[in-house]
Amino acid sequence: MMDQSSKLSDSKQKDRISNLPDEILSHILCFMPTKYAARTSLLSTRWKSIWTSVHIIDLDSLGERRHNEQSSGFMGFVDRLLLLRNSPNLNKFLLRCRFGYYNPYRLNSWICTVIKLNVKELVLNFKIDQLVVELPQSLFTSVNLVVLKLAGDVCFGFPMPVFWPSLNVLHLHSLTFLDDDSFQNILSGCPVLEELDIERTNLWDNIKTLCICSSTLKKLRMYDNFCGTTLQHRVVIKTPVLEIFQLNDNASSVFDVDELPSLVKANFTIYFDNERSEDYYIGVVGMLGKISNVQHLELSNVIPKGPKNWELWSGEPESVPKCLSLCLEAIEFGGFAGYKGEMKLLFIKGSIVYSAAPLSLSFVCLLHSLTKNPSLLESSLSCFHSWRSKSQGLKRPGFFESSVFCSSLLVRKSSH
Amino acid sequence: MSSSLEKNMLILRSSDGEEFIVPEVVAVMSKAIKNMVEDECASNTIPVPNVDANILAMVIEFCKKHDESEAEAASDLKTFDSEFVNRGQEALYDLITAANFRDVKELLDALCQNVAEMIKGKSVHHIRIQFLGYQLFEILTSNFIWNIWCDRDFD
Repeated sequence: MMDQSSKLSDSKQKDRISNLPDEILSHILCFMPTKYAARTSLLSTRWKSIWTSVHIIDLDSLGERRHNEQSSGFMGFVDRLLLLRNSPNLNKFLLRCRFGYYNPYRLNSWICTVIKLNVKELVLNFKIDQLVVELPQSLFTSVNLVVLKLAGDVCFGFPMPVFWPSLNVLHLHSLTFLDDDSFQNILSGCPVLEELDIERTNLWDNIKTLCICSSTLKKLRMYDNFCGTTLQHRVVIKTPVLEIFQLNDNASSVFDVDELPSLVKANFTIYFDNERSEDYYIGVVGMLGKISNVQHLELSNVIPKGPKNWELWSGEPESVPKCLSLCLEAIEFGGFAGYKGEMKLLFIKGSIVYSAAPLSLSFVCLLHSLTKNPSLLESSLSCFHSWRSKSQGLKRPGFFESSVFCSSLLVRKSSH
Repeated sequence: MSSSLEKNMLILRSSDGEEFIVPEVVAVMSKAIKNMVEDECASNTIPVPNVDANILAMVIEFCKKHDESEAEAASDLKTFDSEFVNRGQEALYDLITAANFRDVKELLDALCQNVAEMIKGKSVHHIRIQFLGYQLFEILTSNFIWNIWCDRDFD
C-alpha cells in the first residue's frame, strides 16, 4: 500500500503536462477532433472535465461505416457534448455528417445550440441522400458568425431574411439553391463580406444567372465544373473592391464583368475548345479587359487546341482590351499545349517577376490576339522581346519558344 | 545607423540573471513585453521572471526564426516548428508555461499542437503510460459522458 502511493506521487511528479492550467489543457485539446478530446476525460480526475470547455468542436462521421449502433452513438455523443459544455463561448463548430449520422430534429437543435453559444466559425458538410436540409432560422440571422462554410449535395432552403452582420468569409460548395434570387438574397444579407468561395458541381443547382454583387468583396474564388452541358450559364460580377480573383471555369459560363480596378491578383483557368460559343469568347476577353491594375496574373488552359480553332484567330480586332500591362509584376502560364506542327508552345511554371513597370505587352494582348485579332501581335512583339531579355537572368524555360511562337503567328498572319 | 540599431534593441533578463540582447521586433512577439514597451513602462532592461536562461534562449530562438522568415516559405517554417517543439516533457512544460505567461501566441500554438499530436488517436491506456507516465491508480467509475462512439479505433 505504502509502496503504491509513493509510486503514485512519483509518477505524478513526472506528469508535468497535467500540471498545466486548465485553459492550456483545453487549448491543447482544440488541436484534435473532439472525439479524441473526449477520450481524455478518462485519463484521470484532473482531465475529467477539461474537454467540456474546448473552444473548437470538430466532429466527423464521414469516415464511419453505416451502422445503426454507430450512428446513434455519434448522435448521442453530439447531444451530450453540447449539453455538458462548460464554457459560454465557442469559436468554431465543425460538423461533417454522412448519411445516417444525422436526423433533422437533432441537427436543428445542434445548430441552434451552437448559435446560442455565439459560434464564430461554422463549418457544415453533408453527405446525405436527402435533398433539402432545413437549417434553423437563427443560423441565418446570427450576429456573431464570422466564417460560414457549407458544403454538400443538398438544397439549403434559404428562408427569407438572411442577415449576417459580421460575416466575413462565406464558402458555398456543391449546394443547390431555390432559384437565382435565393442566392442573391444571401449575398445581400452580408454587409461586410470579404471572401466568397463558390463551387458549383451540380448542373441542376437552379441558378441560371449567378450574380455576384458586393461592394465589400475582396477575394473571390469560383469553381464551376459541370461538363458536357449545353445549358448556358451566365455569371455577372459587380465587385468594385475585389483584390484577388481565382476562377476555374469549366462550364463555359458567359461572363459579364464590371470594372475591377482594385484587382491585383488573378488566376484564371478557362477552357477554350471547339464546343464554346462565340458569346463565351467575348465574355472571357471582355473580362480580361476589365482588369487594368493586375500585378499577378496566372492563366491556364486558354489556348484553343485543334485546327478548327484557327478561324478564331483571324478577323479584325474590335477593341484592344485595356491591358493589365502597366503594373503587372508577375505572369504565370501553365498547361499550354500548342497545335502539333504549328508551334511548340510555352510551358512555364512559376512566376516571372520583373519590376520595370511600363512594359506594355501583357499576355492579355496575346490571348486576345489568339482568340480574336492577330493584328495586335505586331505591336506587342517588340515588347515581348524586351520582356524576354529582362527575364533572361531568371533562366526560365520557354521564353525563347514564346517569341518564336509570336513570330510564327506573324508568319501565319502575313500568309493569310 | 548603429545608434538606431542600438535603439531598437532590448535587454531581457531571465529569472537567473542572465541577460539577452534582442531586437525589439523580436521581443514584442511576446504580447506581454509588447504591452510593456507600448506603455513605456519598460526601461531598456526587461526582467522576465519565472523563465530561466535556458528556456528564455529557446523562446528567443523561436521568435527570431519567425521574425526573419516572414518572407520564407511557410513549409520551411513548419518544419522548423515541428523540430523545435520536439522535446521532452520537462522542457515542453517549461516552454508552454513561458509562452503562456509571456503571451507568445505562435509558440504556444506550436507547442500545444505538439502535445495534441501525442494524445490524438491513442487509447486512454496508451496515453497514460506513454505520455503521462503513470499506471492507472485512479479508477474513474461513473463517467456518464463515456460513449462507445469515441472509444473505438485505437491505433
